Amino acid sequence: MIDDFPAILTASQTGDDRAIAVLWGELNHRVVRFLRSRAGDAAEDIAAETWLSVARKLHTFSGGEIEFRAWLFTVARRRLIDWQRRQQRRPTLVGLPNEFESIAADDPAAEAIESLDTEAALAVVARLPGDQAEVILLRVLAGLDVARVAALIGKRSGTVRMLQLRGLRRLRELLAMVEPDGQGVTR
Amino acid sequence: MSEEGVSRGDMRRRLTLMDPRDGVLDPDTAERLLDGRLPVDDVPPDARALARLIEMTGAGPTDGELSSQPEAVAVLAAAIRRSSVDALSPRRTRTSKRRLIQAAAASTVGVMTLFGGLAAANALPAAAQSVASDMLEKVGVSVPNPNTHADTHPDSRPQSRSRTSASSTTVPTAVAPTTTLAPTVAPAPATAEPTGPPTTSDQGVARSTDGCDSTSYANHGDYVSSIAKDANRQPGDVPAAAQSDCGKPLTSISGNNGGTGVETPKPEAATTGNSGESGAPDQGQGKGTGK
Repeated sequence: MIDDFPAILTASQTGDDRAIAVLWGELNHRVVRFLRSRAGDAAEDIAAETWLSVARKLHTFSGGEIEFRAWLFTVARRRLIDWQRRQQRRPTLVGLPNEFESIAADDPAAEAIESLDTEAALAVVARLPGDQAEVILLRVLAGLDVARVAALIGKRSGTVRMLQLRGLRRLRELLAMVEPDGQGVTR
Repeated sequence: MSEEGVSRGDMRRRLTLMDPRDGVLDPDTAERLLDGRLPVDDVPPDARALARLIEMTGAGPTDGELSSQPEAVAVLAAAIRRSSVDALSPRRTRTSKRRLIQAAAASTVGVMTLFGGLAAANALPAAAQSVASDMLEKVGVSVPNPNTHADTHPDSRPQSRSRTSASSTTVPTAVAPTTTLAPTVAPAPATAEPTGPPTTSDQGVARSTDGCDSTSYANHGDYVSSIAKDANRQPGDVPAAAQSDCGKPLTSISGNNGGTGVETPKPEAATTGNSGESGAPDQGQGKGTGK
């Protein structure tokens, strides 16, 4: 969470570089990770579009940090949908990075998981069905509760709870597939 | 809270990580994992990998993720300043006001053009035409005024008895010699009092006396009605009275009005110079066609 968010927001609305850097530094990597699971290498471009859209309307925003995060990820999700429409194809399914596979090949499963980095973790999450991955990423990356995620994606809270539970169970299954004999993660 | 209590709570939490029925996560544990209330160190080994994955997913930014920060912040700061300036720009405010004024002026010109055009074409209702004429005359534009020749028109509207004498004294001068006005043809002063509605006969309408008896009638209906009410009438008297010309306006007898039976001022009765404004605006005869 951002310390003294109201002051940071007010300064950012005037174009203060340092305040904007705080916002961007705290939230950009979260937005990019959310987008990467759905858009692959286009994530950073979409994130840049997202930030520009937010910047143009920042002077009209009022609310706390949670509301700001919800707004930011709402814009990001819309930009993602726009991008997917432009692509006229299903979201990119990002494969596991070689780094993760090499870890899995050399170490027992527990040690491999202990060594899991962010890229590898995102790669595993990206193997989930789209709606499950989206819910889990919005919960973890955006820091939003079930109700806000439900509002953001236009589903009911009960549906979001079900999606996140199924997603986590599926993640456990995927992680359990990391074989100590070097087979890596398989479907 | 005692250490024993904490450990019991931890134990209970760990036990709930796994659903004893099928070995999968329960909803409460899933919720605690996702909102960060279940640190990896507190998670039993069988769920540690999942907790680790969640933790790494939401970990802080890497150096690579922050590498583009200076450029991004500069771009965003410029965009924010630009949008703030645009939102508060007095230029935009002035532009909006100017457009509003232009729209209002255009609307006014449009309305005035339409109104003036209709007035010039004498197509407005008489009251509006009169107002338009008065207004436009002040700016040097001449449009027809329905009241210009009002004093030269015979007033055929129903009027109070107090005005009848004035009207009846002026109209007969324009009546042709062969016609007589109902009040003046009364043979005797005793019968000069109108038996019908006094206004009809007092409006200067020349009426025929053909077929009348010695009594003066306000109009043809008055004559027929008197016959119908006559106690000594004979069969056929009423139809004969209805077919007679007694009390009918001379204009209707001569066919000038096309037999409509509507009592209108005789066109010739008006003084010359009438440009076609026929009668009062509320007479129900439509607008003048003399243009």
